[in-house]
Amino acid sequence: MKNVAVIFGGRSTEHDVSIVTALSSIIAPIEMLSGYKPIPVYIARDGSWYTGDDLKEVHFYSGGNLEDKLKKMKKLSLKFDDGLWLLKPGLGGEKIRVDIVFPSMHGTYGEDGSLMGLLRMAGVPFVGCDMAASVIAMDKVLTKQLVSDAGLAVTKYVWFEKRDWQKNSKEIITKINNLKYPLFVKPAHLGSSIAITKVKTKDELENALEVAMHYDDKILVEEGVTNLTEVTVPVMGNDKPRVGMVEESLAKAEFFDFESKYMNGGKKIKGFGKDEGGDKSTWSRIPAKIPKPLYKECENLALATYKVLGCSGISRVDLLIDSGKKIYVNEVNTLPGTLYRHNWQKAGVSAVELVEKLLHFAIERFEESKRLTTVFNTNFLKQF
Amino acid sequence: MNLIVNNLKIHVQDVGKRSKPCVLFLHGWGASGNSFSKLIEEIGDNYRCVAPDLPGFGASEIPTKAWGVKEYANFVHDLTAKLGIKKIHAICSHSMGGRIAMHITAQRILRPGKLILIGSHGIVQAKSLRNRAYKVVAKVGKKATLVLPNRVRSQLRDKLYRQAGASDYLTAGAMRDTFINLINTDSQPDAALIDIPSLLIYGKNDKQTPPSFGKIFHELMPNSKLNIVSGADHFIHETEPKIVATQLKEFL
Repeated sequence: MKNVAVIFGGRSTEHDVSIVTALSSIIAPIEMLSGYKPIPVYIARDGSWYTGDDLKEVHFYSGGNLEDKLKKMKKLSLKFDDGLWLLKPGLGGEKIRVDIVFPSMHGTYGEDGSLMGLLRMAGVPFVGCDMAASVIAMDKVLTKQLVSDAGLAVTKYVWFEKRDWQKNSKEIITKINNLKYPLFVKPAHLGSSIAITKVKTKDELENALEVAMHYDDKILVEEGVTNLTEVTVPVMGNDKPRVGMVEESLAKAEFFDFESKYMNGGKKIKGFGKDEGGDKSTWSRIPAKIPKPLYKECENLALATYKVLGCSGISRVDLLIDSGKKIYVNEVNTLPGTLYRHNWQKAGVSAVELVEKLLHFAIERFEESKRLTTVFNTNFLKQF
Repeated sequence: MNLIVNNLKIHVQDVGKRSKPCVLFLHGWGASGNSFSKLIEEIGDNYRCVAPDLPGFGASEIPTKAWGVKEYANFVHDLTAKLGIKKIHAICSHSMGGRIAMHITAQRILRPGKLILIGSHGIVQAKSLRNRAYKVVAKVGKKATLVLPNRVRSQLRDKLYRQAGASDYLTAGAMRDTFINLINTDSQPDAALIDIPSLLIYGKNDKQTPPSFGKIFHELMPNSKLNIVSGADHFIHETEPKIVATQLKEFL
């Protein structure tokens, strides 16, 4: 029986979504697999780690008084000793050997490569992208640079750091104004859309930049695609990745609130506003309703992007189609909410098969990395 | 749209042409700028309607320490400055927003031409016998339950507060101290200083801010008009937007 530590929660704005992904899309399916035992590992908002069977129940988090419940639990410590161990302190304490880690963390400190770095140091196999790909995908500017360097299309963009802005904001504004409006202003690293602004005119630009700089030191400003079809393609695998279904987003107005509704003349956009992890059927279409050659092109572009970023395990590639012709790579998400199991299901992969495959990919990558020489013995120290 | 005011990310709806007279909307406790959406749909063609989510509500960030009416009033001042609003035609407020609107107007933090108070709070009532009884139970209970586990104590406390009708307090979370600051602010001294044309709208069936509140403010504000809408409750601008809009159009 292999112990699979499912790590979720964390100090990110996507803490709650991470719990839903862990409980519904990872722990529940693993329990139906023979040979694996899921160990829930919850990281609270203050950064403390906990484990225990109660943590597998959604009511533990949704039932209120979470802080009080956690106060009664013993905090977990980690031990690196030929792999990773979870230590539960005190009387009746336990020492659990972790055979595989299944990270279920979105955003900062989880999906951004931090956790992957820790797991590499511990020498334990883990599911999903490795550290480098996670770091790159979490940085929208790095992603664009790498993808465009490989000859794949991205929309035109300008990026800068807060300190550049403080030194020479005029020059940055001039550069930005060479782009074609509407523009999207985004913090480079933030996973969720809370600080992203669609800017239609020059008057709105500085305000949007200020909002983005409230959250991040690195800012991306990119051209919007006017006649837009937004699609997303889940991909999984290591050396020979495969795609899920090309899924079309039906929520055209990304930042829909009363303001945009009013400005749009009161046209309500059906099904907008469901959080990631909710019922996707109301606001997306699988497969995307696009011509077959374009569909195929989306699949190929998603696979090419996956390889360029060095992804492994699983990811989701977001693409923008302009006027039904030109396709741009938008961004890559290395831990799609709920693993996008609704999409994989339509592609013929059940939730249980999905986690089984992902665990297999984790072991496969780990075994391969073990074959590499990482130690170089010399007599260097003897001269001192 | 989002913007940064006093180092807080603020969500604000700024609808209508900049050249039109500006109406500023201040929402109630637990609500957001969206609570005025039906009303804005009715009057939006003729005005620039600005409806922020006040700090701690809707999509706006929570202030790092507890605020009171003064802090909210100053925030509204800074927000309008940031939006480049030079002249405010009117402030339209609901419930707790009324406390802020009255303070802004009375203390001349901003100088709106007109004021609309819908189901406005701001009367700190002498404690009823029932409330005093709950307070005694709470104090005795606090000592008597010391032996019980924390979880049981907090469950009992929540039950008592719910019975006392303090559900807003229970759901306030990080905003609890702000809530206490606001409900303890009596707006009658501010109301007495307001002489601009004011429209007071109260629902006849409003339990939270009964028409008697409107009558007190009406007496204090020499240039005010009081409309009591039969069959309506505290959220009259959401449940009866057409009635409220008709009164607003006439008044504005």
